[in-house]
Amino acid sequence: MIKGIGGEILWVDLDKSHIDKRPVDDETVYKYLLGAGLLSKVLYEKIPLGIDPLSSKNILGIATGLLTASMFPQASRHVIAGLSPLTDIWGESHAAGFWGPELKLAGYDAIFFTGASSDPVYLNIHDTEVDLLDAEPVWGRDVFETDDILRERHGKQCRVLSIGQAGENRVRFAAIMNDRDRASARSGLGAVMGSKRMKAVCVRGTGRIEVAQPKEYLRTMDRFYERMLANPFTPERAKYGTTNLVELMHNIGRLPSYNMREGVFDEYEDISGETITEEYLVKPRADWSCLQRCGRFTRVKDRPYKYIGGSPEFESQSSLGSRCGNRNVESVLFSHHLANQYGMDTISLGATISWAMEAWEEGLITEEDTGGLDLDWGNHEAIVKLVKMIAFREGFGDLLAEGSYRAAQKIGRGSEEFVMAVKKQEIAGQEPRAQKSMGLAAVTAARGADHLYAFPVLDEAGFDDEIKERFGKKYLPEMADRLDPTYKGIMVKECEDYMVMIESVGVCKYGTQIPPEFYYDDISEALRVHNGINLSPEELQEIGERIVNLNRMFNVERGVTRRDDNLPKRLTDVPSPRGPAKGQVVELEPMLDEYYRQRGWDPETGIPTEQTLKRLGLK
Amino acid sequence: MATVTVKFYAGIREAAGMRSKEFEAEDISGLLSSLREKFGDEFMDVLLDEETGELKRFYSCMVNGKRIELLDGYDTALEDGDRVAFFPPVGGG
Ligand code: SF4
Repeated sequence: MIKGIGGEILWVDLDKSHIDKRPVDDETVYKYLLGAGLLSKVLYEKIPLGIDPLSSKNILGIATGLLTASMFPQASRHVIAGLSPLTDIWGESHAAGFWGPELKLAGYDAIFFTGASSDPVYLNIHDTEVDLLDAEPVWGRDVFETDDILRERHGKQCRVLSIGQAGENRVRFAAIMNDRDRASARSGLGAVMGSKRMKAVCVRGTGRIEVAQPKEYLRTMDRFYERMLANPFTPERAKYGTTNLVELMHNIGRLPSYNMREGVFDEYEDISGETITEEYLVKPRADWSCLQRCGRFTRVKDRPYKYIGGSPEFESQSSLGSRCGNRNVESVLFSHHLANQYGMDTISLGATISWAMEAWEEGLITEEDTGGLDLDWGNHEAIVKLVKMIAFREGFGDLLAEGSYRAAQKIGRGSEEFVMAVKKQEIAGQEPRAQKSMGLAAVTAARGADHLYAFPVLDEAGFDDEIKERFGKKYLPEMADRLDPTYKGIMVKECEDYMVMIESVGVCKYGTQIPPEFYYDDISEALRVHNGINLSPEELQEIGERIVNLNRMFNVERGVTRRDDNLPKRLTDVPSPRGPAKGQVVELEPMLDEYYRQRGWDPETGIPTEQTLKRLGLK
Repeated sequence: MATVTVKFYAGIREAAGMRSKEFEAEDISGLLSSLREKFGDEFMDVLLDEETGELKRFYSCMVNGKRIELLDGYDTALEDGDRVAFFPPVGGG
């Protein structure tokens, strides 16, 4: 009997307004864990081929991990997955907060939504009571209003996960928000939720979680806390969150600017972590059991960008700031705040706007297209206007709501060349010519361009000791050198296996990957004392590998091959024009060859071989 | 001697009381000595590990965006116009 879990899975049939509770199956847990692993398995089996992601045939899954709600440092996560309306392949997104732990305390490890409701509904969970309710009072409302209304109605201690207007309007990069400003942002799963007319999941859990070995658990967690607190990253993360990555990225040439034409931004200090911390920070905020405290609570005091709320993090500073040539920090903060309010992925949002700005500069988009809006680089007023126009699909915003890939297909005129996406999803704030591993990670990630599926940060700013420990001395110095493509296939493969496993146990990447404080052996120990599960570090690694291969097969069955594992020409063929990565391109092909070899995938097609699938028990 | 621009970030900037300054130095070791001269021991305590005398764990020093560990370490020679940056632990995405 597995401990430390809720124990049940909710199947919500929106066609029939029927809710089914099914027990967690132990065998699945031993093969896939929970969280990302569980969703990968169930959705691989159940989502039909050839469907429109925004049709009622799509299935949306939400799951917590085996350690979610435990005392493991940063055990705050839940995962959401389905067929992505942005990429038409595997869609997955994660968020921290308190919603996931609350769901587990109510007794549930996952929820699957099938079908679509004819009228807007929301799910209300209060321990064993689970009801689909009329969403009329919250439909059309933004994320913050929805949170206020549902907590007013069901109790202040409830935790709310919802979509905003962007999800209702099926913006292809709509997010699913929780705890007001935590976003499961990538893959556009908010639009899937909107297409199901499913507005929110309001949860109150007052149950207990039974731990396998209480005494040992407390001792182990105590030790983990000490380690996390002693890590030199901890005070820095609490102080700056991720905001001062702007300074680091500019210095290493990895800060995308002007639609990723460059990797430096001369005005970076204006949008830096130091500026935000000194002038706008109200306080840091932490999620469940978090010692890293990367969350921010900020305020702009004066109009026109006045607000108070949770934001920002590095990705938004880069996408809505440097990537759009925008040095007006208050507009960056405010547009992030608006994106949270309407429920949108700030990465795709800023990247899509910056695509339009470059096409505008090139004369490929004109006032006729934009309805009179001037899209000069750095026009912060236009950026802020567009955030709302996209969420509500107004005017030119309706086109951008499709994401840069589809927008460029529609506009044509050569604007396709400026789409900085992989498999239709916009590349995040990592200029890969300045960090080759990030280029590879963006093309191999299951959900299209993505930095988090592998999160290969070991070569970023000095983890030589960890590289030695995880891989061996012989890989140094090449593996630790951001600009050297050597061994990056090995590194990205290892990081992917580890990160999907981490997303299946429900702990944050901060603490497990950066800083790399906890590793397989620690997770193995935590699962033993918390869940009573005995899985060795090697077995956990194999589970990670199994999940990655299953995600790949999900995509292969939808037509993905090596041809799709590709970067925009700008990044592979055009040398970085200036800054620390000047002259660099991403040497993608040799890295991919190495990666496929490591994975046991056919190097010609990029498809897992029979032998690999058999070894992982997938055949 | 080369004239280089040194940039300080986060807690290191607070300890230095400035964002950046020009220094003359031949290599990183020489630069560290100049920093001690200019800012005193308290500043160096923020930057260096007492026992090893080298940068603290996860602190980084970069010359033109490259970590000194991937160059010649503390012997990395400096040239006129080089940009040297000191960072406390920071990373991610
Ligand atoms: S490090 Fe940040 S994202 Fe992770 S749990 Fe803590 S506050 Fe949340």
